[in-house]
Order: sequence, then structure tokens, then C-alpha cells
Amino acid sequence: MKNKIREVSVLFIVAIVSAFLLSFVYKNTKPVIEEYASKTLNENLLKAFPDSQVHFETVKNDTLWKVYKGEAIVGIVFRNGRRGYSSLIRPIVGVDSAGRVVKILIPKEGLAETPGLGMKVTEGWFQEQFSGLTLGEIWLRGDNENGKIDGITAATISSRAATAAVREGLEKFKCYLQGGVIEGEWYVDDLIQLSGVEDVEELIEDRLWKAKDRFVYLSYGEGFISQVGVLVSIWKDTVLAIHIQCPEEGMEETPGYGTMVASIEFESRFDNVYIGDIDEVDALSGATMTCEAVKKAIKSGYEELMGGSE
Amino acid sequence: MKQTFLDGIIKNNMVLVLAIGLCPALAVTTSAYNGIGMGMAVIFVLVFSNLLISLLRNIIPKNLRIPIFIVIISTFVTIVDYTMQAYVPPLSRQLGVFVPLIVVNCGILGRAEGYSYKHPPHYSVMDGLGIGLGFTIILFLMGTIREILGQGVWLSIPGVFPGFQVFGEAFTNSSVILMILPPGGFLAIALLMGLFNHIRMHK
Repeated sequence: MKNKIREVSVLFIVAIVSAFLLSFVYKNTKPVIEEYASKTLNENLLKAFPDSQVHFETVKNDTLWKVYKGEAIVGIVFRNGRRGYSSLIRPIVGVDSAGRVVKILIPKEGLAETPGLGMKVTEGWFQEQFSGLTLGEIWLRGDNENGKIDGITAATISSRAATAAVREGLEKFKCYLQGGVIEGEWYVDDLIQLSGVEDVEELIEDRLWKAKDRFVYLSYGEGFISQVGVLVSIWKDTVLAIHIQCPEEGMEETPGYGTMVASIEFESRFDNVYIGDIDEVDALSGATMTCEAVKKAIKSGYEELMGGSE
Repeated sequence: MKQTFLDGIIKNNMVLVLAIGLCPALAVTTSAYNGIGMGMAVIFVLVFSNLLISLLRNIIPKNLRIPIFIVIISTFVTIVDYTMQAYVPPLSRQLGVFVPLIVVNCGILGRAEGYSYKHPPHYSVMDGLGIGLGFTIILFLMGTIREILGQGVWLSIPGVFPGFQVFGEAFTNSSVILMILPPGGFLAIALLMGLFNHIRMHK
């Protein structure tokens, strides 16, 4: 018995000392790591929108920034991802107020395309081709007659993914260029994004909007510990895209578990899903209750929408 | 003591003789600089974990030694990981998950169990230095072979130095890409092992 206590206390002391040491190192390196991250981010943003007089304001972490010159919005910078050959290609794209690409930047970090082939998307000549193009021109020459991008020899998949990431991102975020955003609720930015146009017609206050070709509705579902808000854009009976309220927007599910559903990856599982097949969408492990809440919210909102329009 | 150090480099060389720690050796050696970086991280962890385990060898209970080794090793690995993230971020990104994975590098646990748990501190430090240096040299050589053949440059440091041109522009543009892909790692390690055994046999 005495021996056991001795053994356990040695392990205990080693672990305590280790914990102290690590918290000390962590405390001292964290600010340096964060400073580097924000410095790199700012450098990258400036590379995508090279202008020394502008400043950037984050709209969505790591995804969207508005570019201000003084008080006026002169453009946006966004980051949009598309699966390449063997990794996610996420260009950082600067767009001027006319909707023209200023510059794009594909950082090497996190990119694992084939070295010497797909990795060439990080080369200057490839990225420079995008400067000055408008939405319709951002295609590979072989894929669309208006396309102005030369693909990389023997790396068509990577070049096509990079091009599509820029094009789809521009499509998704161009509405932010027009400025005047309705202020207020958490879903306002996403409402514009999901409806695809700036001016939406509000049918039921704070619940249902009609955009050009689709409806967007807001619905809540009972999650594990709170109400989870979901914004859904729908065309006939097909869900086009959804946005799930994230913790910054007031969602209160278990951090690290329930909150995981508020990710682009999970949200995209609902893209173009027939409303009757919502239950088939795979849940996230560790967040089953919250996933159920999202599905319930989508379905109940849809029923309400149908009921209301009859 | 000098013998312990030299043994670590040659007779007990982690990669070529003991053939342990092959996973990081294959994975990160796409350039000579990466090889050195990984090697340095391993030297640091090995020296300090050897030292500490050797100092504590009389109070570490026999049947709890493995968990205690792991706690000690992972502490130093985490220190290295944070430090690299803070002060050499590009290198840290290149090495990626292989820095935290040093914890389970059997070379390090092997030295703790097989050497420093049974030897006094100064010998253990020497052993750590020797083994670590031996590992670093091999990683550097593998990185050199793979980088020169695969990219046509040598000692490039991302964001700092583009590297020495070895065979000229024409080669760089059509280099042996295979060498920086995973098979290249096996080829480089095979070349070095063959060469090493050849020299040993004919000495």
C-alpha cells in the first residue's frame, strides 16, 4: 500500500510539474503566435488588394473582409475554398467596387497538391491571369468560351478548382460590394448571401423573405441546450443553401460539440437537397442533438412556408 | 563518454542501423532545411528527456515508468512545438503534424527505456546528443538527395533564401518530381542504407 502511494505520487508530481511548465510556455508563445497570424493575414489581404491607403474590416472570420478607404467601401476581399486534386484550394481574392478581380493569392500553407504539378497554382504567372477579370471570364479557356484563364499543363483538376473557387466566391460575395446592408439581427449578412440579391422583399416580419428566384426563411429548432437558428434558402422543394447561427451570432450549444454544426462544411451538406431527404443528411458525431435541431428547423420552417402560401 | 557520443551517431544510428523513427525521416525530408529543422527538434527533445529521465531514474517506479516517460517526452515536444510555431512559423507549417508526432517516435522512447533509465545523466545527455545528431545528419542527407534531384536546388529556405541552383534552370523546370513524392523518400533511404552498409563491410 505504502509503495502504491509512493508510485502514484511520483507520477502525480511529474504531471503537475509538466502542466506548470507547459502553461508557462503557452502563455509566453501565444501572443507571438497570434501576432504572426494576424501579421500574415494582413500581408495576405494587402497582396490581394494592394493599396496602401485602405484598411480591412472583418465581416466573417477568415472568409470575408470589407475594404475601406476612409469611410467608403472600395471593395471586398474574400476567401473561398474548392476541393482540388488532393487538398482544399483556398484563394484569397481582392475585388474592386466594379466587381473586377484585383488580384488573387493562393497561399502555399495547407495546400497539398502534387508537387511540381498542382502546386503550380501558387506560382505568380497563374495567379496574375485573374487580375482585372469579371465574373463571366473566370473560367479555364477550354471550359467556357469566355474563359480567360490558361490551365496548368498536367494539372487541370487543380487549375479548374482554383478557378472555380474564385468564380464561385465572387458570385457568393459580390452582393457585399453594394454597401448599404440592413443592420440589426444576426442573420442579416447571411440573408443577403443566401438570397443572392441585395433587395429582398420581406413577406413575414423577421421570418420569411422573397428574393428574385427563391424564398429565404428563418426557423428555429430545439437543440441540446438552446434554440438553434437556421436560415434556409429554398427553390420549389429543394434546399439551395443554409446558414446555421454560429456562436458569434448568439448560438449557445455546447462549445466544441454542438457548435461544430455552424461550419461551412456541415452547412454545405444541405446544398441542393430535396426537402423530403433532409433526414438522410449525415449528422456530426458528438453533435447529434444539434444536428437534429437544424433538420427540425428546416422542416418546420418549410411546412410553415407551405401553409402560409396556400 | 566520447564513445557514447560517437556510438550514437554511427553504431546506433537511429535511421540506418536501428531503423526506427523512419516515419518522420520519410515524411519531412523533401528539403534539406526541413531535415535539419526536424533533426534539431528531435535533438532538443532527446537531450532533455534523456537528462530528466536519467536524473529521476532512481525514483521512477518500475511499473509506472512508461507513462512517466511519455509525460516527460510530450512536455518537451509541446515546448518545441509552441516555440517553433512562435519563432519559425514557416518551418513549423512545413513540418506540420510531424512535430507533435515526435512524442510517439519510438527512437526517443527507446532511448529512455534502453539507455537513460539505466545510465547516469552525463552519459545520457551524450547519448541524446549523439543519437540526435546521427538522426539529423541522415535527415539532412536524405533532404539533400531529394531536394537536389526533385527540385534542382539545395538548401532553400521558404521565404528567406531560394536555394543554390545545382544543375541550372533547365533542370529545375523538369526535375525528377518522383523524388519529392513519397516513393522518393524510400529511394533516398535505400541509397543511404546501401552506401552505409557497403562502407561498413569493407572497412
